[in-house]
Amino acid sequence: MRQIINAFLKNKTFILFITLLFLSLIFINNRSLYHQSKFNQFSLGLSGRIFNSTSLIKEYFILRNINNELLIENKNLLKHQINLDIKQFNRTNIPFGVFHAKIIKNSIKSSRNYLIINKGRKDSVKKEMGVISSKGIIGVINDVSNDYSSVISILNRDLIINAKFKKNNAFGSLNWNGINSNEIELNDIPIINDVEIGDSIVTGGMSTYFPEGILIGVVSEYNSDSGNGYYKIDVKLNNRIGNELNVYILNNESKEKIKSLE
Amino acid sequence: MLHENLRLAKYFILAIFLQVLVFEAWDFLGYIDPIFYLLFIIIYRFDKSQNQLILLSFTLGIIIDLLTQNPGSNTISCLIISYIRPFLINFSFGVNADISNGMISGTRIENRILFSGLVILIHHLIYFSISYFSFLSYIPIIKNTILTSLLTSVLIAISLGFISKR
Repeated sequence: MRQIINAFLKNKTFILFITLLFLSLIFINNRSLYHQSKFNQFSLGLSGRIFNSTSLIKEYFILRNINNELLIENKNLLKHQINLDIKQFNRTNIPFGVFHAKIIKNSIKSSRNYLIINKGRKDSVKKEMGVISSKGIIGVINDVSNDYSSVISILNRDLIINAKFKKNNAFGSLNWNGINSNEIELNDIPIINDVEIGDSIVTGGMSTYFPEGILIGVVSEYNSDSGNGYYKIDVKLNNRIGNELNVYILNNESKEKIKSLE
Repeated sequence: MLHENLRLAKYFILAIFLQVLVFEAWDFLGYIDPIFYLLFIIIYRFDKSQNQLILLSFTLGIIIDLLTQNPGSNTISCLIISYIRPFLINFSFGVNADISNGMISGTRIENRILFSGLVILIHHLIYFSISYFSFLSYIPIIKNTILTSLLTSVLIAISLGFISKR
């Protein structure tokens, strides 16, 4: 306290000067509209910078919430888009519901890879639902617990997915050969179809897992010399499974009806 | 002491009256009004309290601003010049900075001219900068500072000569 008083007394001239200067600025601000507008401009610029910085800091701490909000928004948009595509092309009339989830364990090292996501039975997740990311397909729900679900990754030799060429609707089946985590094989495409490197491969819509038309990847290599009348096509995946974090679970709302007919 | 305070009060009131009634309406060359009240800050004794000078300068500036319908340029410029005055005294008078009545007697004329010139120039620069309050107006600020400083300097030099003789 004594030190504070001493410091105050030592700098009393400066304190007096600053106080009177402050009063002078108030005086000039009240008397002149021109100065008032200049001060306002200055204070607006300054407060803008300060609030911008504080909002950036604040935003950093609420990134998780923002992320969740964006995921919900994406989920709704994806659901809208999927169902809109179905209506637009009038190919099927299967509505899909969408949930979002996060990958909490991912693997691409094995030949039979599985993922674990943070949504389970209590979030209405069921077996055999398709799982996609914003860039492509991820896999199919394999097992469900109360809070978590296991997903057979597309990078699993046991999973076969129906796919087709976007340009001519030639159907085939996708299966991973267990070698390259960025590439997957497309089989059963008859050689009468025209294939070129760079052709887009999308989901075929013949299974209940995925709606038609979700991008999987592009043709990176093809071979028609096998002699069995079918191409052997390598498809470069559009997404990198190992880097994905946020995924969407697709719920085919007519799956039970389709199963009962099968 | 009382005599000294009375003398101070006399110059204070005289500075206000002359500035408001005479020099503010002078309009030399159509637009130059000398700032005569600076004489009070210049002749204020070197050994007297700086805090008192700061308060008096603030009061002087605010009274002149109120009487001349000025937004506040006089107040701020007087305040700043009274705050930096000790530095200007040391710079201008050097070893003679401790002569209490250095602006009236006991010091060399060159030091006095340097000191009053600096006070006038800095004060006017602050005054016009606050009046225009825009970087874009640097030409009128410099022009007015130089012309008004010249006129103020002449008036203050005459007044100082008159005071010294008395």
